[in-house]
Amino acid sequence: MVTAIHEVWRIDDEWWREPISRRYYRLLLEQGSVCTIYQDLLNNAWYEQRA
Amino acid sequence: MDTRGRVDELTVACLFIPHFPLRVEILRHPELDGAAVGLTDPTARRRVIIACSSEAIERGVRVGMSLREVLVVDPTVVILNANPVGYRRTFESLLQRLSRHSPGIEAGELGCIYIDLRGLTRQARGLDALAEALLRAIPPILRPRLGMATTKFTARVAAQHGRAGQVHKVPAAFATAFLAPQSVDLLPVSDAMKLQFHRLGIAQLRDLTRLPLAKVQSRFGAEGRRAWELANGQDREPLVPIPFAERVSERLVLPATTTQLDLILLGLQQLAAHLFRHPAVVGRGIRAARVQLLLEDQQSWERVIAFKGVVSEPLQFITLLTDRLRQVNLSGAVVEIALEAIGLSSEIARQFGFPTLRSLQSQRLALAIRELTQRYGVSPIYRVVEVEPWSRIPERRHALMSFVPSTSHSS
Repeated sequence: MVTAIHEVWRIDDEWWREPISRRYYRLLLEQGSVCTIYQDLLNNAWYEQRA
Repeated sequence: MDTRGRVDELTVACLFIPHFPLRVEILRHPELDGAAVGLTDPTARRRVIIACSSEAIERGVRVGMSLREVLVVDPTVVILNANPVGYRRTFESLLQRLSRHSPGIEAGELGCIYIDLRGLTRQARGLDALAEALLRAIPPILRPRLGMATTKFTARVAAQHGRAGQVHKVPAAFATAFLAPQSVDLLPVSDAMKLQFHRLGIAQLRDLTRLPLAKVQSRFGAEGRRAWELANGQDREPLVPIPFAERVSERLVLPATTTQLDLILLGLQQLAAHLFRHPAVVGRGIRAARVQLLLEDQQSWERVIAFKGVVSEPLQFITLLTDRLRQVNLSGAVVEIALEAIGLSSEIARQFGFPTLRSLQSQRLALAIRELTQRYGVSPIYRVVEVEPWSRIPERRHALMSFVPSTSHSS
């Protein structure tokens, strides 16, 4: 479960080839760990950022 | 001073409180208002006056005098110990009060605050009502002065020129004429430059504006150019509002006052443990810490400790604090301890190098990696290589590459 949202930001890049449009969320989870997820705004899919 | 003109063009205000530390002490001790008061630093090896009221100056007290000399000059002068933590807290509370009237607040030095006025006059029903609201936000005993102009420097000079509790407006059309008779000592330049100005007979800003810019710049450099521009009412420095700063702090009121450093460090350990459990700090690192010790008799001690890197482990954090605080010299018993985390960072991991690769063991490691590579077809050891560290797409910044050791390089 998400306890807090540390940051929210969006990137829109590489419009000249394969466009990338994502909204990122940096989350604090209930167990105390922190993770980054993002929603791909082109296909509305959600991913976890591992790197 | 005729301040008619386009007052609606006034975009910057400066709230100025002269002798700010002294006024804060008088805020705390109102009965001393109007008395001859001097401040001294209790932690200094040699106790001298570091600030004094105008009433004390009239009696012959000067900054830099020793306490013994002050007693000879006038034994009725009240000497107080400086409380820098208290002054900063009071200043921050003033910033918060003013931020309710304007979203653009810039903190200058203690006692000087710049306020962005753009777009506020309509909400406040006029510039005069806005000025009154700004002055009302400050306790009158601090004797605040308000200057309004179109540039920061002019607003500040207007505030310094004005009287306590009053506003002094300088429209753009009158700025140069207003600044002309002011002293060059008001310029935000080094003391050495001010001394040079006086030696060359440049006592007022009008003396500086009469000189060609090219000659001023060739003689005094970039700082001289800025001084010339300011004297001419040109100030390109924008008002930089205070950014939202994430602040996490913990306080501990000691059950009994103490001067023992070990007990103080034990209190800090407890505060550090609480700090790292705070939701805003979990999973993040800390770049610096502010330690505040409130002592008896309203004294205080404060130190900001910046770390070489980001610290994300409580044990490492307390070890670094302990090392820095071992030599602290306090002037009184500690009543309260406060610990604040500064510069929270999102850095959560760090790749360390392989220090053993420079020794004989590196050859064994290289041999082991080669054997594993032959067995599995690929090297099981990887290293993170920067590809596009500037990229906004996180997965493009680094790449994992197989690590292939050789005898000629170490990592």
